Amino acid sequence: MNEKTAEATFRFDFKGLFKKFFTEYLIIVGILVLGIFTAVSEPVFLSYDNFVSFVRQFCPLAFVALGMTLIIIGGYIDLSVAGMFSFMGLVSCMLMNHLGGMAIIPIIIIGAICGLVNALVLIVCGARDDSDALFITFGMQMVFAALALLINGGNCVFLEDKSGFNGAIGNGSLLGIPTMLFLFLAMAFVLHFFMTKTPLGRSIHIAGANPVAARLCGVSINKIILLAFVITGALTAIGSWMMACRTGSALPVCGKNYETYAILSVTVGGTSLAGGKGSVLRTIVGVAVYTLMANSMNILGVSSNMQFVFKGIIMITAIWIDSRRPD
Amino acid sequence: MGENVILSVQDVTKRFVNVVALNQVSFDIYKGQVHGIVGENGAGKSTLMKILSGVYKKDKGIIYFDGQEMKVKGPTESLNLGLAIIYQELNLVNQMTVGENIFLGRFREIGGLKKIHAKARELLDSIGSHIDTYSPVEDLPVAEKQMVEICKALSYNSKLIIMDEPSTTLTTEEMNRLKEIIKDLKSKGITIIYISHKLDEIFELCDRVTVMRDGNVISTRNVEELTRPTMIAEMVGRSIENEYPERASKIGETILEVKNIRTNKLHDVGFTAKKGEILGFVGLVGAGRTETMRAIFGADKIQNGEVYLEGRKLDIKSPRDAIAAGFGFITEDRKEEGLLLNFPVGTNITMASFPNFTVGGLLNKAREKEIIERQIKALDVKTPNADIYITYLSGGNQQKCLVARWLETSPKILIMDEPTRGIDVGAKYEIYVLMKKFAEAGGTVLMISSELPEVLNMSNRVIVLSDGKVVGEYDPETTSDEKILAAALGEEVTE
Repeated sequence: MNEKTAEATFRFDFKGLFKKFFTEYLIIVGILVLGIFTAVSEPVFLSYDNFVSFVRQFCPLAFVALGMTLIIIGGYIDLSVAGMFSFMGLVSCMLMNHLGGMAIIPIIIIGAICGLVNALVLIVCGARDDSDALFITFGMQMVFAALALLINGGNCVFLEDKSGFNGAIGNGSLLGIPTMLFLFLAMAFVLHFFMTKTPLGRSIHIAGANPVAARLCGVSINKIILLAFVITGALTAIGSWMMACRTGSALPVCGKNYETYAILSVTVGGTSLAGGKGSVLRTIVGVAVYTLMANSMNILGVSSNMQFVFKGIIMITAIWIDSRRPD
Repeated sequence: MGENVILSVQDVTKRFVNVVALNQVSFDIYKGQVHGIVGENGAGKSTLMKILSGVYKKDKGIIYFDGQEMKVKGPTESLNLGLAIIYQELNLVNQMTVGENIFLGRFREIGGLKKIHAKARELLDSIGSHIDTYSPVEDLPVAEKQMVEICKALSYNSKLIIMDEPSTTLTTEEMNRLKEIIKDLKSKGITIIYISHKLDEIFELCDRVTVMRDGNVISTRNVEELTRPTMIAEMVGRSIENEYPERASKIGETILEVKNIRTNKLHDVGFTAKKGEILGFVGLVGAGRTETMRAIFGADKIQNGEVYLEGRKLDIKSPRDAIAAGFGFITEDRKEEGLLLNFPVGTNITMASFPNFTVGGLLNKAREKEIIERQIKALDVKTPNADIYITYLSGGNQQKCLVARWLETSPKILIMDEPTRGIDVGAKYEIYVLMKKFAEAGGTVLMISSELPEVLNMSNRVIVLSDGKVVGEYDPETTSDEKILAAALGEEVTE
């Protein structure tokens, strides 16, 4: 009897599989089609120069999205990364102007501290799910965005020395590939390894899937919050630093909408907003697909205001797919 | 079809993709009777009820209700015909008042809020309930919510009320009240379909019983023609000699001492447990049984109290500390507090025992697989493989996975809160055997259960809690059920 129940309830239907394929890959396939269309109509799309600009558009966001992946898998969300990105951009430029190539160390530390503040606020407020985190980090977003304006009186900061280590990251290439991509791939590899191979990484998945059960199995939820948000703070700082190195300046609003783009990329990649399920590799695909869309629209000459409409539609579609995913 | 048949189900078939959930099911239900439907999980009871209430469409067959062929498209239509269903997980709007819930969506028809509350009062009085019609439903205990549901059904002038596992979350006392209500409804000529896992209730309440198995009706008979063993044999498809194994019999030294645990709900709870012992905890819902266990396990903060394990005082601040000290905790609510539903069986089994397959700081997949396979085999978990999501397993097999999860941590003390809730007869027995095996291998089980026969047949000793206090300790072999029940109800126990 029991055996029968197990077999009976485990249904294997191809229709479901087809549906799964269709829902999982709808956006990715759609944007690839857009890419192909762009490549055919605007040959410059496939040029080396566009590849380089693609990568440099991709990397800063990708770092933020890596952190966001950990947070979303852990069952939370972080809207404060946009403000933090702006703030860290200014901090990065200021530090680089004083310390040159050594600036990256304090930049990462300050980023981690920003993440730590987020985590502590969440813990003190007793945030237990992503809707708590949504509002708390929304508040933190305002704080960081304001700090970005306050730190230099609302003005932007220019990078004085665009050579050396910072310049090599921002605009240098190795074997024809922008250096920042190597940095990103190394970081993505480390995080992927951390999430799939270590007990702590597994704990983040479990905590996101069912925090109550996770806690009763010995997972410390506060530790997960600290870990995910501190890592995200540090990664956001690195992303922001890269952006500053590339553009040679930092505006107090340079991170505007980055929380949306990061969440969009994570979701498009197929990491579930419900928590527990997802991976760093999926996010890489997600960011690449998002960047491809932005890049294609730029080349096709879609106005930036119109681009927001499409990004919004993609975001909503991604969430719709997430809510219907047959798992 | 006789005059007194109110519901006649004829050759009803229902398939889901490639699974036959109901296979040419036929039976009659007589007016004014309590008709029991029993069967293991997956037997098709719920599917059948959902077809009757209009949630699902049947593929084949005819249903006659009150002399007419029933062709309903949704739950509202069947309600209006006079067929109401009370689901296990009640269907009430928590924030609204009792009166509003009873007449939900019909405020205008009845004629305003005042009239609603007046009518609700009448209905509640008619079943002998004194619930205030103005109190929000969320403030009511489950038993009273159920009464609200019953009144809601009555408000539609229902001729037939289906109750799906109504007793699962009720205490014995609340159950007695429900029995009264059912008898009362019956005397008013209302027919009741009563679905339950608890055979005692079926024998006590029902006039006729339909046994289902694997989507088929095995038999429909008057209850006098049935005995407990035949009913179980029909449900399971084989005969089960005993419902419970022999008591665990290798009791050793005292291993656990709990002293003066105090929280908002507990008043100086203390007890001791021995090695190899199954210690049962009896009490009404809210007596503090689960709270005691959560306090010991570090899941809730305590104001005061000491726990000694093997003579050593423990300092437990979180479940993590408790696990390290040698505790395991199988919670009452499998879905909310135990399982990662949309995760593989394997991940669910190993999630409390990372150290067992962590090598050099990294998870070792090969070793994890070994553990999973060993546990699945040892506990005889019926699953096609370790990678399917645990949500697809039956309740009994899910519970076995949870037992496996904690056995893998090699606990000294295993807490089991309602270990057999919602699982079928065959799997229950297997869980009992696992408990006994664990105890006889030197472990200690702290078992909470609201099913008195289960506690009395499995435990070596029984601790009775009432209102956050330990009110007695009994040897279940020499004490009568009544005495233990009386203690749990907080009554003076006289010899």
